[in-house]
Amino acid sequence: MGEDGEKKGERQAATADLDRVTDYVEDRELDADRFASVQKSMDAMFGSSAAAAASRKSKGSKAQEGKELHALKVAPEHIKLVMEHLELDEPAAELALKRHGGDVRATLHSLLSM
Amino acid sequence: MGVKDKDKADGSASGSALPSKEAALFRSMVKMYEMKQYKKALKAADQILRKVPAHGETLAMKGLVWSSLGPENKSEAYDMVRAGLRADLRSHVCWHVYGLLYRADRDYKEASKAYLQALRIDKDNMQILRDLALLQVQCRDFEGFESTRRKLLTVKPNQNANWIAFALAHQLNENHADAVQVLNTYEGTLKDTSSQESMFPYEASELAMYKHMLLFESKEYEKALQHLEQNEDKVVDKLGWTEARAQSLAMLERYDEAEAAYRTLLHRNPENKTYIARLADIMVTRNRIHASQAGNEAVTKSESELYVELCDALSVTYPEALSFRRLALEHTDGDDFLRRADVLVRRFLYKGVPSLFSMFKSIYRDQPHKAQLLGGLFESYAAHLNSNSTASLPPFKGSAYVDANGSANSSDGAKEDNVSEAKLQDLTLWVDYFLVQHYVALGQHERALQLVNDALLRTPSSIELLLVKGRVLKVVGDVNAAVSALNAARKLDLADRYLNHKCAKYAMRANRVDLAEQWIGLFTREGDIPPVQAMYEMQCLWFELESGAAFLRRGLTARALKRFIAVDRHFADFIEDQFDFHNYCVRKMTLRSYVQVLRLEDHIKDHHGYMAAMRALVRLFLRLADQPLEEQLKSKMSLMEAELEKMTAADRKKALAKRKKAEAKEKTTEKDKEDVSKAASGTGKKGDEDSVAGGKKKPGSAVRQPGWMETDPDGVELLRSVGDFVEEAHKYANELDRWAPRELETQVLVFDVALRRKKVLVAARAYKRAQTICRSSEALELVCMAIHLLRVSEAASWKPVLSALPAEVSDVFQNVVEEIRGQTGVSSALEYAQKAATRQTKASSGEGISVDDQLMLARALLKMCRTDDDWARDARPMAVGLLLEWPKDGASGPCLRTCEELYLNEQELALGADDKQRYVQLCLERFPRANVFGGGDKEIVM
Repeated sequence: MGEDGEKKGERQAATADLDRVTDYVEDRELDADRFASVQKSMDAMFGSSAAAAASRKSKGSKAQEGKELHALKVAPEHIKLVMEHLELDEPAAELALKRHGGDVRATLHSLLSM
Repeated sequence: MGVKDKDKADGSASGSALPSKEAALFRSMVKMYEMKQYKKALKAADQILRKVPAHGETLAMKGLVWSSLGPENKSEAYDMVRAGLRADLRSHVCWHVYGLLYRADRDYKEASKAYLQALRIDKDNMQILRDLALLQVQCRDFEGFESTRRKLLTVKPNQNANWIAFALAHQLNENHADAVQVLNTYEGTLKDTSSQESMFPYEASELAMYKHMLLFESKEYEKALQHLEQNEDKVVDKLGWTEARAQSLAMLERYDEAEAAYRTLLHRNPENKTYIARLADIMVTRNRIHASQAGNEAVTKSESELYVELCDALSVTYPEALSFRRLALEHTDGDDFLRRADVLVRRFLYKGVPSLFSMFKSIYRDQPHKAQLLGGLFESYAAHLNSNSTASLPPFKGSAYVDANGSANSSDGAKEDNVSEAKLQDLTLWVDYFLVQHYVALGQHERALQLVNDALLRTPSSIELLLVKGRVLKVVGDVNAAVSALNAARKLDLADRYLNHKCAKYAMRANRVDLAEQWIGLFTREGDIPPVQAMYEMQCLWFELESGAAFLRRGLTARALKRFIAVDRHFADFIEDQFDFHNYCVRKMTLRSYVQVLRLEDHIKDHHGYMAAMRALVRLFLRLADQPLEEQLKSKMSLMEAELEKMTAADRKKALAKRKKAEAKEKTTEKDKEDVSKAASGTGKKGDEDSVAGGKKKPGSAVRQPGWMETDPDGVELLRSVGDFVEEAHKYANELDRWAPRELETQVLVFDVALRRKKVLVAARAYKRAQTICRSSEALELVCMAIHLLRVSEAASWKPVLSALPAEVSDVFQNVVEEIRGQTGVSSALEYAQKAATRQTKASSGEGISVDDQLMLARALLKMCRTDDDWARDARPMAVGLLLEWPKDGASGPCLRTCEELYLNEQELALGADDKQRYVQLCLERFPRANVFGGGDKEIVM
């Protein structure tokens, strides 16, 4: 660590210098004039991008699939079985089971070829 | 800058419930901490605590400062921070500090928990939000990162960096359109004030280029190009700008302009291969379009013709540039190729450039018939120089050289250089040097060796010749002699780091890690850091890997473990190292490079060095797991003690070994003796290290903490800390499966580990994955896996395992087994093994297929015998037959690596002494120079 004590040779001095480098910086900020305009454009941006994001979410086919799958219920012991015998984590095992309508054999079989 | 904001920005420095003087002191203490003035900060904290002893925030801060003062303070620091937290649970400062402490320990999960707790108390705290964002991007929680950055921008929209970072968050979420929109909005706010100049030119430039990157990546090439051209005067990275423009033009299929742009770039740097490739691509594409428009196939030029045409034209423009001439060689053949090669290599030979052969490496690999042509060309040079004693190369005679093979001797028209003896010798040297490498590449090792020895008689002090001699010897297995050659080269220039390191690397191949470390030590930092630690600090992967492999060959498992784990730690560090950049790059606006770094880090474990270490670790632990229980206990509890004992009693053993050597001519004792003598020199060294570590310096002066390699240098503790060898192997096999699932080797190891863990479905999955990797269903790795799976389904020893499986699991497994039976038409493992063996014998008797596969099959079958007595009874004789009967003629024999690999792992084959000796004998006949089988030099000549 950074000792200010004895320094022998250039290398030590250099190491010491390097240790003194910090992440500390004063933040550069805008002046008060700009603040208002920035605030305004930011509000506008959030308004529109939030709307866009919302529309993306509802439209996305993946999200759609997720929703349908989400509704499906899978027996916890089946999830455990898939997790144990194919060494998957819980979300992956659950998703695979749901994709196969909870059929354990079909799930295991398809996971072998993934 | 509003006063109100200032308070918020330094939100962590609240110093609540303190008298005003102490509150001020608290704030300055926080600042001191940020400026790394830890000792001052500690004093300030003590000063506050004298006045208000139970002040929680100060206690916590003191803990943080204390931990920064040295790693040995860690646990005390945690106690202090926890005490602070207990005193003031409602303080966000305490929670924040708690998180920072965890962060310093790389425990990001606990750290972000603590941060989130702090944010629950003070939800708009800038400092904590910022730290949380860093954690999230480090852990690649991009969604969380985006929402944190959104929060930060909402709280403080007047900070430039918050806008940029928010755009970045969108990009990392693959949301380029939103990222561009954020930047647009940000620029919009810049326009209506005069503060546009507040940005430094470099930052404005980088921001403009970053926006181009966003547009380009979202495939908005038109907009990307437009943006570039509008901002040309803003961009200071002119080269980057020109490259980006050329790339955009090419993507927009504006080929004429793109071509012009790439030609401009080439004018700047005619040797840049990317520019040439892009330019050639454009030519090829345009030609194709042209042909399809004309509807006339005959007009079309082939790709190669286009390449050559382009290269020729450019060589005229830039006569000094080499890359065009080199590239043309890949696209020409026959006489044309030879003529071009002749022109090019002359330059190198006359100038004496040692790296000439490297230029042709890819041709030797991908276009072997051209390698023959090159060989003929150089043979003719050599013959001409031999017979003419003029220091010049013969005039070019086309492919006549290839057949004439030296008879081409005419001095007509040859450029008469100064006919000096020295010049002639020089030319001969470089021609020979190339030829030696040529023969090595073609596998004609003895011829290469003879040539290099002859050449060394003429020029005994040529470092290049000595190096290449070492290489040939290494390839044929006489590693001791190779080290001797390298050492001779090293002694010719003791100040050359390359020679020194190369020499050390060869020493490790000869299992002489002690020698290697001694040599390495000549070039590592002077002072009290031992070379091994110095190499560790420099994160030198090759050194760790080579020394680990050498220890493993000598059976020093724990030491090998230490070295391989070192590689794992290096990669953890590489990943950790990016933390500093999350903050720094956004501040410095080096966004393009930052995104590149993030992408690099995402794939850093794809690196071959990491893979090699992981594979070695899996094998190492599997090998440990294979040992009988008592040996396992020994290796775990006292393997290292036994090794150490061996070392201290080294002299006695050495003498013993010497006597043995005199008595017996056994090859094997040779190896033992070597080990002992190596161990002996290791001891001397170790003693030195101890004395250094023991000589503690007086307190107050800079006491160097012993590094990771110095504490537990032999890996005893490391090995002892391992609970279960198979589970440990599993851990590293998972790493392989995660980072290199498409490597066959990975699936083979995953398969092995899975069967040991009785996870039949995981093994079946590895088999299926391997199937998708192999091009042929007869690939030996696949065959071995299939035999093993069949055997699992039928062996008595597997019955209890299989019957304990849930019905679904065992059904699916049986399906896979049936699938194998169906595909191969065999009914049992033994039948498949016999089928494979027959095919192999047929193949090896004439088809020219290497015997490597045969040995690998033998190994796999023998390995299965260990746990399966019925199998051993039926299959063992066949497997031993495969192992010991292979054709004598050289062309179709196995390669040294296979034979050696098998021999070094012979304990897993449980061979009888006779069989083992026969195997060694066979290998020695085939590789008479290989040290490992008792051939070649016994000692290194120092």
